[in-house]
Amino acid sequence: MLKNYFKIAWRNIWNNKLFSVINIVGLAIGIACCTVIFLYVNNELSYDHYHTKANRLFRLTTIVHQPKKNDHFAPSSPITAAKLKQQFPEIENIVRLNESKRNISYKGKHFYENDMLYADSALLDMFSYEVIEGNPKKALSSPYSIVLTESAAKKYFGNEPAFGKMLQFSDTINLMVTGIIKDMPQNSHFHCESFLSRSTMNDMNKNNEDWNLNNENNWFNCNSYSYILLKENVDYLKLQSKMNAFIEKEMAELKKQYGMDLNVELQKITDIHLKSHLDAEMKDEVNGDITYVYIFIGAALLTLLIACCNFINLSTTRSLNRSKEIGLRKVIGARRPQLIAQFLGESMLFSLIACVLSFLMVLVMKPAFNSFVGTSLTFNAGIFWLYLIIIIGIGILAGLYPAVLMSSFSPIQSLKGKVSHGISDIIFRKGLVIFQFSIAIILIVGTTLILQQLNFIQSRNIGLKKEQVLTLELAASDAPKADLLLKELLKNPKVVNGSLNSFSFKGTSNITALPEGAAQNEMTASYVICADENFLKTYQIALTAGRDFSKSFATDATEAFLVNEAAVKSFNWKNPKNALGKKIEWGGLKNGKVIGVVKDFNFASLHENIKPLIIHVYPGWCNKISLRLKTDNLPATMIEIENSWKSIATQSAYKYHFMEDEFNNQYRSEQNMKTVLSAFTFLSILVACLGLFGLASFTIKQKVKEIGIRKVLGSSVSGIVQLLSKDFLKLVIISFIIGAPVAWYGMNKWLQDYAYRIEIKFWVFALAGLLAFLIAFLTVSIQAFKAALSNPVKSLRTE
Amino acid sequence: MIELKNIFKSVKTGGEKIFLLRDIHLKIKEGEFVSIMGPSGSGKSTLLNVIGMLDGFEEGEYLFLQEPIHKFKERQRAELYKKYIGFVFQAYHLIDELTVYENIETPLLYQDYKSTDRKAMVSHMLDRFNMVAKKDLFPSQLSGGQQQLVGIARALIAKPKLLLADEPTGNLNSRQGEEIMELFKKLNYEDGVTIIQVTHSEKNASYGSKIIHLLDGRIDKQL
Repeated sequence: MLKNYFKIAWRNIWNNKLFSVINIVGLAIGIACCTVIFLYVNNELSYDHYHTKANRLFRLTTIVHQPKKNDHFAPSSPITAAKLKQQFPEIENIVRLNESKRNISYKGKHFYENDMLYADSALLDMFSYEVIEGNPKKALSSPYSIVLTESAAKKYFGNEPAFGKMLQFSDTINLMVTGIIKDMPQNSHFHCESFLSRSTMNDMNKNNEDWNLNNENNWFNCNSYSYILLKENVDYLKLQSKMNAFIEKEMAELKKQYGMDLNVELQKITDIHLKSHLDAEMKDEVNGDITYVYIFIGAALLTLLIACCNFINLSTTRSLNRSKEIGLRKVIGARRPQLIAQFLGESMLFSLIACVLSFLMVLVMKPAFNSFVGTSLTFNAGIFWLYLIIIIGIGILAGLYPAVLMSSFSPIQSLKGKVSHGISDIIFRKGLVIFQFSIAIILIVGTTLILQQLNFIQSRNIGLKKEQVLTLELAASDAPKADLLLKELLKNPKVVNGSLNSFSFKGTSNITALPEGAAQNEMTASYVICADENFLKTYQIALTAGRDFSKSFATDATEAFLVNEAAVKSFNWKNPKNALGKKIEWGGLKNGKVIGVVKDFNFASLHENIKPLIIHVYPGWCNKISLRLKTDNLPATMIEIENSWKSIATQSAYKYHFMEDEFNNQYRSEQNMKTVLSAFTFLSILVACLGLFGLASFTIKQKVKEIGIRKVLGSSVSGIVQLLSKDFLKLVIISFIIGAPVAWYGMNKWLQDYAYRIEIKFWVFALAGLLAFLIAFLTVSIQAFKAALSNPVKSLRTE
Repeated sequence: MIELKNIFKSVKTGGEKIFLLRDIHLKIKEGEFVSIMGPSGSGKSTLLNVIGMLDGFEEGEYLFLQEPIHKFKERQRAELYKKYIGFVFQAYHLIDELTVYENIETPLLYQDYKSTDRKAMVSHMLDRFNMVAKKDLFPSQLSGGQQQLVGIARALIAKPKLLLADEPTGNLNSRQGEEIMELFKKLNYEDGVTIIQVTHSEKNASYGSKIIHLLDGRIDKQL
């Protein structure tokens, strides 16, 4: 019986090539989209699950309460974690990670490394990195130990064994390689190339009183990413409130003194990648966003749904051609469930073939997706189950309606070929077409608006000119040579301007300051950029009042501040003019007066509004040289700059980037979404058109006689095309009426996420509607023309 | 075998009630070969469909092998005709996607025969109709007469007691038609299969043992 079903299904597929190709290709595209997204979502959800103790690992984040605002930081101060560990036996262990930017050298080769982390010795015990060599318990306990990943070891030592070798750190200090670990899995919320023992940092600074005070023992110095491992069966939320009660007691004094205090929040390590968007997330890591994951899933399911609609629609339409077979089977003894089973089997065979085809498509699509989205998706056993679900699910979903409908025909009617579809069936099928095109219109509008918003962000006047600014990164050991280096670089005629500063879109330091007019205990954390006299000129930032720093004022280096307009407002200084001359006490390190107010510029992501900012001259914290370049013959200029660098910073690696890239990098997840959504939009329109094409061709075939009669009676070709296309185009118009408001609502919601956003213009909808209309018109009218141009004698004779 | 009493059947077209069958009384004994004749629209096919249980009727009684069919549910009727009745059609109604062999086999699939039994039964049938060489061809590769032979083979495969044929030679030329009629006669005579056929041709009707003339849904005369 099954064999018979299979045979007839296969021969049906083979004998109706147009129908089969449309169905299978459409379904395969839908399934391929789903598969890729399944892999992607799987990957997104798998972040940090590879740690065997993942369910007990938490990140300690800090909420700093200030008089006017609260800030939630991903890192916390080293002392917070240390004190909590002493106090709470529920905590099995802690590890604190501090970022480091240093030169590493081996045998005269220099590498500028900003991918290193200082880590407590418990690291390799808490996190499940695969240790290849070394003792995981001891590798990071003594000072001047370094644990390398395989790729770092390869970079420094080539094919030589690395374990036990020495590396130079900051040109003068010796580090011993005490461990080699496998490269960190891609699905980790942070990545680095090597871990230094945290005791190294302590030992290097052991004679530095200020460091001990400000770094290790300052509650407000949130610079360590702290992870804690809880003992089994500890309720972390309960522990968190106990922790906060403890911290409140500990900090009572400080609160009185500074008017600030803090509390902590525990974050599941497995939640960080998708759900954490705190201030000062680990550098260079762009966390995903659960919303985008949902959007991707939605888009993939919609594409699949469109393909299913095709399937249902085409199968139902085509059932007319099979009515004879159904009637006959009934006459020779088939019962209805047997017929339904037969047709469901057929649609499962369709989806099986589509799955095979889609697997091939995924093989082709995967590398492209990986390179666009920056993931490394791999197949896993889940795929098998996904396909099984799809084959059965789609088989039933797409096959049930046609199967039930077809098996309901009375045998005599169907043998005579007299079956016709009822009104409700016609409405159902029109509904499917409307549904498909509504989705297509929503996707077109969505993609257009996302494109617009991203263009808007990228080309927006953000108050500074990021284009053609090259930034060179300085290691700590380069600091003494920074001035010399800058002078040398400015000699190059292609360099228009240059500045030594600390500015980066990715993270600006946040330091407490006491502005004039505020009470002693009303310190405010303000963003700060350390700069020199050329910073504003290099970035072309405008002044609204006062003056820029200048070498001709000797005091500018020691007691002058620039603030932005947002700061003027936040400090209650009324207006920029009024702000000039106001006093600022900055971080306990500098006291001075405001000499100028700069126009607001976006120094962080455009998701956020512009925050209060203080700019001052402070060479000690400057770790970048920014150069504004002339655009002509850029490659040659780049080589000249590299040569100048090498002639002076002989011991340092040359590391640079363009500010425009840095700026755009902040919108990587949006870029990903744009790419993926554009692809889905295209594919879903393609699938919808395939369906419309198939449907139109069947409908027109049924109207061959009518076309013939009309032609004989003198109708023109255009008249017939109009007649045939009208019905379909009406459906597209209804789709627009349904799709447009949905798209407007959804996109409006998405745009709320941006502090700076485009207005939704009417023409976007008009464009989407017109596009859908045109595509549908082309699809249908090609066949309508063909039918209209055929010789009526022929079509009438065949009847 | 078959007993129809007071059968009425009507349809509504454009608000008017049209009787397709009026007051049909009919008795057919096992082993008879009956031909139903009459002009177009006289209700021949309708009567055949009623006898074949493919179509219902509004009034009257229908006894098939002493069973009151008019009291049966659709499902029971289907079981009954599956078991006892074979159908032959004017337009053959073979499944285009299946080969000769598979077409003949299909009814057995719906009656839960074992695969080995099916093979034996189909082979026997192919032998009997001299179609062994053609068993792997598709209907479109056969002549009309050959297709109708396949249709008859299919109708007979499940060993029905009753064969219903709706103008079985209507699409065939006279030579092919004669062959089919000879075959029917042989089936009726040698195997004792009861046959009811609808036909336009006096000549074909003469092969049967009984002729029923219909006019406007009534039995005009029985010979």
